[in-house]
Amino acid sequence: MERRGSAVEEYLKNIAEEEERRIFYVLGRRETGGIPAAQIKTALQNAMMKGAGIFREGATAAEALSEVVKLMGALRQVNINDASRVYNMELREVIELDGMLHAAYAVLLGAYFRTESRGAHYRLDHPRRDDKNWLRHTLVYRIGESYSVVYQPVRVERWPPEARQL
Amino acid sequence: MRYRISIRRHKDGAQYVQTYVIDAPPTTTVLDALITIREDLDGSVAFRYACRMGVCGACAVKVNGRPVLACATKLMDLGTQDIFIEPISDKNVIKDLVVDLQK
Ligand code: FES
Repeated sequence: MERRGSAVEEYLKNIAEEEERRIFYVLGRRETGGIPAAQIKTALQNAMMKGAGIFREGATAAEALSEVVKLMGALRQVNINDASRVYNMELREVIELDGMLHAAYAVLLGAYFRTESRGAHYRLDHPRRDDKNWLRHTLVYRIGESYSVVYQPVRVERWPPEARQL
Repeated sequence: MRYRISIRRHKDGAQYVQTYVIDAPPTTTVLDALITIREDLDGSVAFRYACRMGVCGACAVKVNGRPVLACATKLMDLGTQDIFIEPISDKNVIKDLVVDLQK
């Protein structure tokens, strides 16, 4: 069977190369005025503590959202001292941080839009549980550089969810 | 407390000892000291860790000549402010403190 040059193979190869470029691009980069990755991580931790911590609020979540966007920009300026391709922990850190920023953004979007309190999601500005409007799942999609938030109804089966009685 | 931490480095075929000075409380673990060095002083230092709580063994290194788990060893347990960290000895070094665990 003639395998070489098959469209699927070509397609996969392109994806792999694209991914490799995305990852190793950071290695060769030399930016001026970049901040260290560790600093971005600390800033992200603080932003998430404020925006999506124990007590949440629309305004603080919104602040954290813009902070995370800022950090995403800062990550593009981060420099890596270690240019080697062998066990490069610094590179790993940057790749992880990239994923963390996207995950954080998704969490914040969910927390910002959900104007009720439910389980671990406690909103100071909306302390009541609201099954009428919010008995639904939040799904966040990343499409290119933007995000879209969609909601999906909860499939209620044998046990209908209800507020806990104290 | 001020600690002088020397690390035996293996990088791109070269071997050398590099010394870093950090300020850290005596309760800091050797692993946290290494992480501090990587984050604040020199991002190119490679070492392995996973659980950070003395369970998995990924962080095994030799500290002042004795094999220990970096995350389960506090700086104050070492009894000195001069600390020498090298890879565990009977393995091939991949980079710095990271060794090949296959063989
Ligand atoms: S990191 Fe798992 S034992 Fe130290």
